[in-house]
Amino acid sequence: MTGNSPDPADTRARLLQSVWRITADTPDRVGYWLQRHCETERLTITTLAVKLGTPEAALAPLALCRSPHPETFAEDVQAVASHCGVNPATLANLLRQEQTLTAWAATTNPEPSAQPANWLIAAHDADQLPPGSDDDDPGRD
Amino acid sequence: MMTDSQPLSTDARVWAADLFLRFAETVTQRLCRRYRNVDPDLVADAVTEAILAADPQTESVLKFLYSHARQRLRVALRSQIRRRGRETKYSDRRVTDDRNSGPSPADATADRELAAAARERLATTPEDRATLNLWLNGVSDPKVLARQLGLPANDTGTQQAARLFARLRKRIQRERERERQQHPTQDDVP
Repeated sequence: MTGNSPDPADTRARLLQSVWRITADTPDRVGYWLQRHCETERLTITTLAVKLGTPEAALAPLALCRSPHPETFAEDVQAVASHCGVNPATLANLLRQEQTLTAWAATTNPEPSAQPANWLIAAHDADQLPPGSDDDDPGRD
Repeated sequence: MMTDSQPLSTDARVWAADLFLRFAETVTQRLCRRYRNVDPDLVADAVTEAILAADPQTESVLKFLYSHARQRLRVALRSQIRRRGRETKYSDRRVTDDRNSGPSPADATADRELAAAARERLATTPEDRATLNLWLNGVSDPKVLARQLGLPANDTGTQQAARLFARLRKRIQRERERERQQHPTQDDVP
């Protein structure tokens, strides 16, 4: 802060963090799905912004937008993406992926849990296999 | 970035985004100036919550955001003050300050008197008292005790010191049994 007024850059940074914190618990906001995507793909706010082709500061208003309704998904995504200046196809893919994963996790594990689904663990383990092992064979289907 | 001259969107899907771009910084800075010593993150959270609470039907948006954020901030501050109060209350109170867990001055005096009486019963001669003092200071080897008491530096002196220790042990054992009979503890009750 400088003098009597708070530093505008500091205010903006705190607001972004605040939006991130609060929308993390509200699935009806896009921010909820963005954060789930960051967890799934192990992204930071910066890398997420790069992926969406938008400045980091633009993620706060995007996160506050309403999540697309399943029946009007394409139209809603288009409206949100054009308003916030992000690529609609990238945003649609991201939202679809996270919503599908959530729905899948809900059917395979009815009780909410912090543990990842078994297939996610299996996928992660497969990534850890040493080079040259059978599962690493590029010629395999 | 939006400008003040642009009309706010009436689209509920992006309404909050518009409010954020138009008013978040202004409202946050006004609140920060008013509540100078408050954690700026609390202020930011209050503003974000106000934005999510607003709807396109709100007439005076800036007024609504400011008053709603201020209200949320007051609630957050009150709960923070209550929490800090509880933390201070419990961190300042030491366990031994409690009457139940710490001896009163009268209890401490009584304990000292009882200890002195027990000491007199255990060690009746100057030799016994010296042995007890040395034992309480960590001497448990008869050879060392013999040397400290000025006894002959041979087997006889060592045996004499060992007898002094043995006598003291027996007396302490008897003293414990006597104390147990007079004041049985929960462990002594079958």
